[in-house]
Amino acid sequence: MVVGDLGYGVIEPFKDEFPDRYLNVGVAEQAGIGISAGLSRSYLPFFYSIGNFPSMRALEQIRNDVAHEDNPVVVVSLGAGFSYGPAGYSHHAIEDAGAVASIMGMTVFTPACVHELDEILSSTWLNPRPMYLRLGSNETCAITHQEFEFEFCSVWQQGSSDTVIVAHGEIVQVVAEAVRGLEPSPTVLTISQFNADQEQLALQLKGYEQVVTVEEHFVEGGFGTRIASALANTPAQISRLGVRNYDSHVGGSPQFMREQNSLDAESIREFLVTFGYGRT
Amino acid sequence: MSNLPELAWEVKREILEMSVASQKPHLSSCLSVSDILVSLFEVKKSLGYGEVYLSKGHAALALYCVLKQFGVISEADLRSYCANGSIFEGHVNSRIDGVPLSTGSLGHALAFALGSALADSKKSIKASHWVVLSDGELNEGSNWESLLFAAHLQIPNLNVVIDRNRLQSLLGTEATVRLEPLKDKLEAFGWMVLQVEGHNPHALVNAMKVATSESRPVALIAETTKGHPLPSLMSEGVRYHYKPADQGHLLEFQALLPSDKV
Repeated sequence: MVVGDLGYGVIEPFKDEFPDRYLNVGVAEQAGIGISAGLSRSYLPFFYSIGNFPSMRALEQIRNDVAHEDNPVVVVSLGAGFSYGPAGYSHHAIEDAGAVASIMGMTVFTPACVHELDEILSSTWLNPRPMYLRLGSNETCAITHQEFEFEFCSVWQQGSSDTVIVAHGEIVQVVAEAVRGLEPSPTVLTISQFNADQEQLALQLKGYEQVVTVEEHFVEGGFGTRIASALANTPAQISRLGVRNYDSHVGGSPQFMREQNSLDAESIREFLVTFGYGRT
Repeated sequence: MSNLPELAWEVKREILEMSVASQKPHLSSCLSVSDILVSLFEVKKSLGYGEVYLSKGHAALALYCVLKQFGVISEADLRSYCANGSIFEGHVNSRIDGVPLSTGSLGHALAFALGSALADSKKSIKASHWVVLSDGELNEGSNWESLLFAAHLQIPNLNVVIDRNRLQSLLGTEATVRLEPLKDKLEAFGWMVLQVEGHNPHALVNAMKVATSESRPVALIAETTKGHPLPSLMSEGVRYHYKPADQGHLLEFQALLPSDKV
């Protein structure tokens, strides 16, 4: 566990139990990723920091020293999207996943909750590889985990066969709230791999007339854009909900920031009503 | 080690030949670092272990010529330098035997080598990690992050050699971002610093052996000249950072006397 001088209150149990496997490189993300890449010749390093610091600050180290050298480093960021809403735009991680996913060789995971994280970590031990793990700050989970034929994809709710909502990351829990009680109920999928295989995505989403993607990330470069690309040769109508209306110099709680971008439960529900999903 | 100057001479001849053949840039950077690389591979050979990271990856041709002299790569490999489909690219490529990390963007190798050195240290693996930095490259903040942390850890199996040729991409280092007093800076960061003649393989090897025996990180400041040993290149400032050699340079090299070899 390599940390960039962050993790107060969460990192101590690991440090206490495995002092020989804990390294704080200081406030130095570029060196931290490089050092982790070097360590990966003998270990499976996790580089931990928050927000954009482990990704954007050290993007070239991730590209050159991790991805293209195929060094199995797991870059971990806590505080996806607007988790640190009031902290200001420096702490809003809304371009990070797209930036890292644009690097060939990086597998990007954005789990919605600890159940998905468990599944991802199990696969990491079996198949260590260059990876970016984008975590929300809330460990509670509304997802009823079900096995699905497609790896890292869970059905939260099996509903309508014509409309599917696909989400990733913590916002899945907001989607769960948004669809509660809607009749008819749409199908809701969570896909924890941000850059899931395009052919698999197309297969998974085949047959739906309406595909609604929801994410706490910029729409451009986001997950929805990847899904739109995967479905480019299908008749599906794709609606991408995500960060669009962003004034970087105005902050607020995660809920406030979601409301500003129509990503709160009420706005998502309103959006779905336009497809004919009424309230009961 | 007695034939080391001759080996270095061969490396420089091949750098010039390949520069003429390929017409690719960074000739003077390659000549600047060639004695350093020859000396490092000699030390590696005599120890029987060691990793050399050429952080100034644009001097890849110098590394390839040294790898050829030490029998790691073939004549055909070297001749494929910058050819279509070749792994012997214009910047250092880790797919080549004996190359632990691809470089090209400056300020990457030191952190990687520090991590590797740390891993070896934790696993009690006998190792000596050497990072060759350019002086211009010291503008990169990532290098100073790693210099700080390596000294903090007092890592025993990591050393650096700085190719101190005092030129960077557009101007001299002191006219661009002043580095002096460089020795004082590195010492203040907690590094042991040795200053050495950068075109004297015997002096370089001796300094490297001292560094290897130290239980803390050591920085060698190797005083070099871009374009060495050709007077027509050395007098041209940054020009031959970009411009390749021509036949005239090969003739000039052949006309140099044995006394020019050091």
